[in-house]
Amino acid sequence: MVAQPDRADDRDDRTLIERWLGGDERAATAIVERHATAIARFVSTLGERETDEVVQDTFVRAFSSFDSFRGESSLRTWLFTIARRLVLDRRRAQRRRPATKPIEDVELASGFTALDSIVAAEAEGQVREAVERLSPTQREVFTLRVGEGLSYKEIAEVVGTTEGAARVHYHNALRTIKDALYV
Amino acid sequence: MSDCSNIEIREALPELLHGRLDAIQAAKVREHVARCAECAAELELLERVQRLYTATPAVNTAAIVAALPRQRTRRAFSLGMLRAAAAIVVLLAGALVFRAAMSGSENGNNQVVVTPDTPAVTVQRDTPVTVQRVAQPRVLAMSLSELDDLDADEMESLLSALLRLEAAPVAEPDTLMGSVSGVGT
Repeated sequence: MVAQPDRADDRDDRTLIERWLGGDERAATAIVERHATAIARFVSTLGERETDEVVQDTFVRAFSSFDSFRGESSLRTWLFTIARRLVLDRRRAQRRRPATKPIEDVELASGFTALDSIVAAEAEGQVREAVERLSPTQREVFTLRVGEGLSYKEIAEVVGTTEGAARVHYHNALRTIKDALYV
Repeated sequence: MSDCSNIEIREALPELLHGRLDAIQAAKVREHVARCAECAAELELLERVQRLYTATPAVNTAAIVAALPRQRTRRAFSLGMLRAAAAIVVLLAGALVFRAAMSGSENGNNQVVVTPDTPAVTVQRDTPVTVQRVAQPRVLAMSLSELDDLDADEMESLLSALLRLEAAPVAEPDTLMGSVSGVGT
């Protein structure tokens, strides 16, 4: 069963980009409003605490490169890719700082603590804990699949892997969460 | 919690969650979920996870927009200024060519002398030519009717003079670059 690509949204994004390239500054606001929250969600699940900063840098970089955006992937997928690269760059920069403690997978998995104050219900807390048990890659794939509704093809573009690998990561993540909640 | 064996339906659950299935596919999945406890539980789990992700703190879109590059300014400079610069260059080049064509060369090369009876003269581009009206024409001072009176040597001499002028157009005359016509009228 093949999901229907969100073509209407993609067309709207392309229209907004063209308007902005033509000098319509209001189109920039529309683009940011359409995607900022999703980018913030994704960035926070990657364990990045400076979510606002990464989201802003993501859009600055995207808007600086719209001339070269070919629309082969959706704008949102492209933004996810940029955001992910920025997070990885920040991690590398942090690793190069001598006083900074190296970031381990276990520490990356605690990125969901940013949601602590928001998610209060016990049931949701259990789900959160289950998601925290995922490996960084599993959590990344699972977030894009369940949280953002991306296809395996889109996830593969963002994460830099194959559709098959993304599918395996998703099902492994789902199995891990089920085991944590129901066993 | 066990998994349903219908992998196609399970793969479609996240798509159903995000409304990415068409009406027929969505109905098919919902019909399966209604009679499959495993898939119903899995869909409920995915909905709980989705709610977790939805709880992300709001971002300051105004601050993001304020930090973006100004497209209008950048465009105005890159295209508008370049267009203006190109227009100025073209105008200057045209003025220089026109001035050169009108002033002519100081050494007397390519000097054409015409009389009121001289037929239209078309000057090839990039060839500075001075057009003078004199009482006593010299080289090319003749009318078309006089061509019939020229003998072979005179005709050859005239053609040689014309070739030296490089005045014979190879194509349609360029109306912007030094076309001189009807000077004798």
